[in-house]
Amino acid sequence: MNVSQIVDRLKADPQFRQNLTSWKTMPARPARYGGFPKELHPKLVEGLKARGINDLYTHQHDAVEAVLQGGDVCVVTPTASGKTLCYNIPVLHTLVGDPNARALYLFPTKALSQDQVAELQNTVSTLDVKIGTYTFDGDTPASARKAIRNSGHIVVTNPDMLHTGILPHHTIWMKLFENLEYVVIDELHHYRGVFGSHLANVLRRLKRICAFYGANPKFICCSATINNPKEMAERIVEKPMRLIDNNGAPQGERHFLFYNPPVVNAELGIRQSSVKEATRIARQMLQRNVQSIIFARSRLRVEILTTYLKEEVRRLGKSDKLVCGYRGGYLPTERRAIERGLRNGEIMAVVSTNALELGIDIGSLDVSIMTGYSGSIASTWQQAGRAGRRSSVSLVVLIASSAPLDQYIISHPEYFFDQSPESATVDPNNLIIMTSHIKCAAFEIPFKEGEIFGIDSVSTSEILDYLADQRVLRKSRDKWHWSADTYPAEDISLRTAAPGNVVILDTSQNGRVIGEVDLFAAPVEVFENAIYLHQSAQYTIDRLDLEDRKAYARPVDVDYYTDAQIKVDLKVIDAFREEHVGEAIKRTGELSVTWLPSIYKKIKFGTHENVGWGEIHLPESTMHTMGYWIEFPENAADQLEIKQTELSEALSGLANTLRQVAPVQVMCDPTDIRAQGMLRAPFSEKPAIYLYETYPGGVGFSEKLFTHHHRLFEAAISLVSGCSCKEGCPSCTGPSLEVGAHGKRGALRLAKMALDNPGQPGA
Amino acid sequence: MTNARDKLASLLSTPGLMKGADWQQKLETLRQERESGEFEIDKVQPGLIVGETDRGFFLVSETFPLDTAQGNIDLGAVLNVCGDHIALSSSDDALKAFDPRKALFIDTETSGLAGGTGTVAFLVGVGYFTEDGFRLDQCFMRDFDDEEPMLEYLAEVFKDKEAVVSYNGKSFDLPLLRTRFIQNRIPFRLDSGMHFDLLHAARRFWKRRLGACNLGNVEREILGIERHGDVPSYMIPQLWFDYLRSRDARPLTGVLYHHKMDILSLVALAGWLSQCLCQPNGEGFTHTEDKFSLVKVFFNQKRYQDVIVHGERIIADERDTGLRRECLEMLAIASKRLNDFPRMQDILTLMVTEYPSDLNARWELAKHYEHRARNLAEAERICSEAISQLETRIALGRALGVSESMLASFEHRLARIRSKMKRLSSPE
Repeated sequence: MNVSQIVDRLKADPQFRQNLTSWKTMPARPARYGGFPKELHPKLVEGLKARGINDLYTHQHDAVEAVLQGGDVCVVTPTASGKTLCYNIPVLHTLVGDPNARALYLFPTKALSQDQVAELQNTVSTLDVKIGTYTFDGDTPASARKAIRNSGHIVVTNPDMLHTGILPHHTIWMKLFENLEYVVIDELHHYRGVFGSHLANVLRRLKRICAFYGANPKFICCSATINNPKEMAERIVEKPMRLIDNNGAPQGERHFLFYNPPVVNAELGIRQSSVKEATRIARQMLQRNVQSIIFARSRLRVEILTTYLKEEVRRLGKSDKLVCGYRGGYLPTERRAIERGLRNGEIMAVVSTNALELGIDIGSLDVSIMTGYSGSIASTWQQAGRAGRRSSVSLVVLIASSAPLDQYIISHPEYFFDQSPESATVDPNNLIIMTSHIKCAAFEIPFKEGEIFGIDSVSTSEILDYLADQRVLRKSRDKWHWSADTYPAEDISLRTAAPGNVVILDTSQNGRVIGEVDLFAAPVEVFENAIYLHQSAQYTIDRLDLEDRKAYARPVDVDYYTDAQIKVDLKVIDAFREEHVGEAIKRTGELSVTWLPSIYKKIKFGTHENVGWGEIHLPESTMHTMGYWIEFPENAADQLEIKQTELSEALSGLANTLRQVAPVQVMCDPTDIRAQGMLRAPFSEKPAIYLYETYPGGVGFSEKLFTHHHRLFEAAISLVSGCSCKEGCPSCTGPSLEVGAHGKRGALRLAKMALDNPGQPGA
Repeated sequence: MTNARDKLASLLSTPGLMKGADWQQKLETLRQERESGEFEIDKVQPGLIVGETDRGFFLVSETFPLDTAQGNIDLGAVLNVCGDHIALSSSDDALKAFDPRKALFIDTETSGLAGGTGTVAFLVGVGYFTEDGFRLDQCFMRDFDDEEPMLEYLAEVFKDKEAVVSYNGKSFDLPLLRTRFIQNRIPFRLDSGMHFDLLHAARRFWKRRLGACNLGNVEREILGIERHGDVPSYMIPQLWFDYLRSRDARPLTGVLYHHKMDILSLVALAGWLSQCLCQPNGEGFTHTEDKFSLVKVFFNQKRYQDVIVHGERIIADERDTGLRRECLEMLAIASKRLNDFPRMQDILTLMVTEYPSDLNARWELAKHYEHRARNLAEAERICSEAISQLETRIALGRALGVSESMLASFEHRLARIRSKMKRLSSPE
């Protein structure tokens, strides 16, 4: 059965249609062509034609022309629009004409690098010129490294390797840096928040080294659709970029369905679990031999869904090898095998976190099912794009969970379809991140007085002086030199706040490594007695050794999973900006956050009921970060005509709501921001709600929330007042059991108070 | 808090770290000490500043007469080396042209072992022979600014040198110096010529006997040198960093001594090695392990005639089984390569007698009797013995996989030998 037949069936199924809040059909779009630019090397054009590329899409044509004219370019097009040609063509054009020229490609993951090299080698093979294309990453054998350094025309790597393995050894990469013509950064949208802020600094170092060798490479960035690609590229590359976004690639007909699971308990506002609904829909696809991808928001959900689907497929009398999980924490070989299985059809359903959002080549799938809203418009479109990459009919189903944001999106489809995707945020000048890279940069080439790294020469020299105070650098006459017997890049991870990962070892198998989690997440995911799921096998953690970064696990068979609770304490260090909004004051500044994992709950599979709890014994951690907070007047309760006890409920209810809608406003991961309501704020003793970033020093989200205060509160109000529940539910202010019976009413009044124009308090 | 320096201090502060007033106080003391310059390097160590005060470096230069003893050998001994021996000991034919008078003996002390562009060589020692003896220049950086004038000076020293002699310089000192030269934009030509890396040579000749071949160990065991008041290598970077801040160079005199000794030992070791190699009949080597190592060097360079000559001497008077057996193995292969089959037969027979469980030797011998010597009866006997040995092994459950596959091979061979015997014995 093909997808259009399935679509017809669904259309004719009233029970299914009853749960839909939107059915959008996007018509097929024909291709638009722009031709090969005239200046293109004839050999290259011939080679492309030999590979069946007889014309360029409009965006490809424009991008190639813009690069050849000497500009830095940012290309934005949806998944599968042939964007790799946008950079491969100008790079190969230059290399065909100048065998000494070099190019550096950056991909966020190793897997993407490998795909890319395979594709490039295919193109090069038609050219009859010797162009060496190599991946250089942690997996590159030592014996091959020298050859790559000297004769690799195109070096394909990731930011982490550039940061630890290439830049600190630039003298042995002289040939690359002296002749570097192009730097290609693909999947630019992936570099938001912490990772992007790091990347911007890695590029500052790269440019500094290029300048040392007299090179001035052009930058070509590619991004999936986000609201501010040009701004984002310019923030990361710190050069004016030309935007190319006239997509000319064809697109097959696509059906985009919004599905809200039926209400099972109207009072508590509880709906049928999105996981169950996703299982049901995915099962139909498996039954009809249609290949699908199911996205879930957390690693845990991926594991649960995989378990359910494997059961279903066995019940259908088929092999459970048809179903597979895919997420971070799986070992690279496991991942490669899954990607292969998807391409050759051995795997018919893959359950994934956003790990498969990226351009990993898994071929074209028919159906994309999203279990819960991914948290951002941009990444929802990315996930949707995984279905129907070529030009056949495809189906996308977004299944809402009970989470507030999901309920908001599902009941406001127009918000999703009409609004442009979110803007990405990076803060290359995060003091901690920038300082880390100034260390690395000083290791690479001593800093001269007056040199600028980041903001201006004054702040640069302040940071350098600080590092000299710490005896990491030494100022001698007009230069700062690296002056320690260590290798700074090794201690700085681009992806997480904490360096390194905690590996999970299976003690029943002589300590075989079964997975990894980042150090930051370890206290929440692999505390003692936690249930850790891997490829739907269950393990219990016997011991977490944070010092050695190891968690010892052993397989178990239980009917529950665990969920950690964290206790949080806040202090305000400094407020940078403040503004009155009506009766309230909004502020942004620096916070000190102390958190302590306190207990965990055991939650039963299937019914999701709470079947027990335990304590977590781990030391508390303190972090300095950035936050944005709203202080209400001391007499807020009186003004809002609620009791003082209800105010506390209102504060946590609104905090819950804000935390849910905030990621949409600033395009971050839901885990990047946390929220806390407080009856007496530590700074002013007033009732307040804090939203703070989980990365030390923050990466700009707080600032953005401060700016978008109104949008944020309007979204919160719209979510709470649009929710059909009476006294608050998991879909808006949080379950009334936790927040209290009056949370919803109070939260709504509080939210209005935080807007200029509060309206009637009683509304 | 708008100043990045203060803000960082608060963001990243760790309890116990010096702050505020304490810190100022400490800095002040340091500044005073520094300005007094009482224990600056030129006050505590004989030497001179090359260049101007603020654009120069500190040079300790000394010339040693050729008969200066370094352990049990004179520095001048190395002048008698023969390029062939150097080439042999380093497995590098380019070194046949090695001329000690045009060689540069080099060693560096660095600000760390991490590698990469942020590690500097704050002390570079270069030694070479002049008409007056062996001249050693120890070039020392009093601070980072000294690097450029120091490298310029070194570039001049490098100019007329054809070869480099070092201890582990191939993978450490030279790449590091190359990086330093590139960083200072001074052309580096030292790594294009010959390079005699004594670490590799020392491993070839002495690893068997000494195990660890770090310079300290080799120097003590081979040259008989006992150092006094030496500084452990791992402390050296920190001593230099401390000096940069305190300007008290007294702890560094130990580093300069350590470094001087390293280079003198390098010269002595090169001399010692070539002296050993120069003696006829390998008499330069007294320990059996070293003699054996020499055989192995010949063997690896496919000099089979030499393997036979030197190897048979070891066999004649060595009873240590491990060495003896390895030596016999090399001899057997060498005779085979030389097509000297009678000798090979003798050696293999000896092996089978002395090491009855050596099935590889049996295999080779059986092959030899079957195909070359055409002594089928002997071949049959050897195979049968091997088979019964293997059957015992398998019965005892030892190395099953290997034993089983060997058994199959021997049985196959035995069957073939027997059928050949049958064919030959049956009347036409």
